[in-house]
Amino acid sequence: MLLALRLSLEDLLRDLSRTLLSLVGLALVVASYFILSALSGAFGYYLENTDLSRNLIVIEKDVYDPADAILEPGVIAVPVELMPGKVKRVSPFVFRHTNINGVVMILRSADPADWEPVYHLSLVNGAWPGKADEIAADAGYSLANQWKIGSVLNIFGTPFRISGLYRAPSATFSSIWMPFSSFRDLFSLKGGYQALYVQVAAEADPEAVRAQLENDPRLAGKYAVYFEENYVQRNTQALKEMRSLSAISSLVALLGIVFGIFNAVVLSTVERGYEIGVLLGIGFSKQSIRWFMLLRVFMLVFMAYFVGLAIAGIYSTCQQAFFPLFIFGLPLNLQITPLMALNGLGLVVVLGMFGTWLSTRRFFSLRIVELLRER
Amino acid sequence: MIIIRLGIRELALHARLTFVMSLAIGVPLMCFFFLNALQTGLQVRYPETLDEFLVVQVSGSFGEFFGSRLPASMSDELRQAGASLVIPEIHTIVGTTYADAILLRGIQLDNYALVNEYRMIAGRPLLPGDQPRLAMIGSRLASSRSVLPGETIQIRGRDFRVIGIFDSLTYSGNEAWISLPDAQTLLGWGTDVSIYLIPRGETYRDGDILDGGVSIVQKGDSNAALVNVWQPVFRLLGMVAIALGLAASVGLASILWRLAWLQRRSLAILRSIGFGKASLTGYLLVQSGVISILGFMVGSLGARLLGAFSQITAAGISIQAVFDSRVIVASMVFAAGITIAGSIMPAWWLNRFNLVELLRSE
Repeated sequence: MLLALRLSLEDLLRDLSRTLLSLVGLALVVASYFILSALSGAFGYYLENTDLSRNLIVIEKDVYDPADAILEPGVIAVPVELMPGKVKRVSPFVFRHTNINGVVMILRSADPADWEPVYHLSLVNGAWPGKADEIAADAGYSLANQWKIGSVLNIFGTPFRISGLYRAPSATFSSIWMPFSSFRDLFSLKGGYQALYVQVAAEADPEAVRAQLENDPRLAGKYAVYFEENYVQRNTQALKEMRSLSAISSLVALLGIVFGIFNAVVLSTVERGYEIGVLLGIGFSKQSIRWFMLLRVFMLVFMAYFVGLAIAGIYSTCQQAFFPLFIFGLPLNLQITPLMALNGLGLVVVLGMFGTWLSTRRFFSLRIVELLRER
Repeated sequence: MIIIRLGIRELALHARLTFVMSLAIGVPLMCFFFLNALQTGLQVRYPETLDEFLVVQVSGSFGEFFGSRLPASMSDELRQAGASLVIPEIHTIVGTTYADAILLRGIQLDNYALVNEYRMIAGRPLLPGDQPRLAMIGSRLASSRSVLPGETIQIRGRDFRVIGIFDSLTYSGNEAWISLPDAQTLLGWGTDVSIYLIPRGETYRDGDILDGGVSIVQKGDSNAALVNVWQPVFRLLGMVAIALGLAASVGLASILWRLAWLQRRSLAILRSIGFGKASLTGYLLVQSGVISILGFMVGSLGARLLGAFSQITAAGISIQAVFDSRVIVASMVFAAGITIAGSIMPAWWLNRFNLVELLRSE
């Protein structure tokens, strides 16, 4: 085995420039696969994230865009009546998609006292808004748009200054946040909220509280009560097709492995036809020569895999750090997970084997005499 | 001519290799072709062409899709300010889930044709005096819901009778149009509307800000914002397609290099009887050209198949691949780039050797 490994390595090093060319080609294919997989994973995050929190959302039924929903003032009283035994906190909020300085953003507003305990925003720089013209911006958004503390954003025709940058554990809260009083003044709202966050008490059963709220006669038929994650998933189904497109593209990209290996192996066998004929003539089995070729392919493919993985890792880290991606205000975190890396390895090995089989199939059907004539 | 024939003969001798190499080039070309076609679909469908009108909407909203709500009283204010024509419309997305979302447009029946370009392909358009609960729907919506004139379509849980199906080169092919009063009743908006359309060149100009956070914008402003939303993702996908193209040209370079190496003696003989260095480059270019043409055919066929069977739909808005002349030319340039990049290195390598070295090779 060690001899075979040494021979394979020597064979690859003998024609170093050609090996490097094959390596670069295959590594680019592998890197493309991982970047597309990471993109598909980023879309999938919103569709598959099922970590249940203790937050419930009460929102008007039959409304597609939450910005169109109206929360009647009496609705807030329903969960408040369940405090403190079943409900820990109630937070009405408003939401709006808006175009800020040419970028589509989500603008949210709720009582600033709820931002940390209910929405889990954590301040990373500056201070929470204290004045009417101050806002807090998601740190990722700010990085993507080169905003800093003190940057002025024109929202709804009014200038607002960023007083603080925050991070949110759930990407769904990545937005521009402003105190409700500022939001109400800005949009001339007559005290109305659009939906309600209900934080279920630690000792209560969230599903029982959800059912109780939904069946309350004051809400039944007119309002829906969702678990926060279910609601997010429902609203992000629009990303499903982008995820499929990225996943299909990543698999199509991997076909490059088959073609790359096919070309490399076919040329190697064509050039070494005579030598292979001699080896077969002196008693080597076709199987052992096939194994030798496979070993050579594996060495090439493994090197390409690790180089490609490194390229994709560096690319996604840089993208994340310097040019974060957002779509409809939702951050797309490009991450190559260990599972992706493992899947990629499996696919690369299988496709490498397939490429080798495809390229040597015809060659090994030739007789020794025909192979010896190859010179 | 001899050099061209020789190059093609060599490829024919390695037909399987040529076929696989053309597939290797066809895959990145297919990705590039398809992505370009999707981007073009986004850019072609979403801009509005009636630029003689301005849109009055809530500042920072996407009034021509959703998110803008203005009072009926604003119509009088606009007229008093000097607008000769004020056309109200409702634009929103209705439905309860991603799957049943519909782009809805509430239109004023006596003048909507002034501000909307469409062509009826079945049934008739909505007319002034029409009874309530009638709808005319875009061809793409009709096709996705399999609805014909005379049948009903559910909009926000209410049945509307489809009176006509229209075709439009823009995103409105995804929309359902109903009368403005029907839309107001359906949404519970009272007398509110989403936007007002006013003629350009009168009192107001694009960029004007009115009291209460209302802006005057160009028609198509919302669409441009929507197109921008997708751009970063398309840029990333485009970069991946280029990386795959680079991988294909590296593969091509490797193949041509080895094919030329196998034929080095024949090529040296050609050089010795008077063919110049350019002929060797031509030999390689012919081979890579043939492979790229085959790859282009494979790639364009694959992209068209992908385009025929896939579309991206988000909240009632669909993006379909459009294969126009720009897309075809861009893909040809991409294929030419692969061809040239794949030929340069072996050409340089081949031209580096002197005749004696090459003739000594056997």
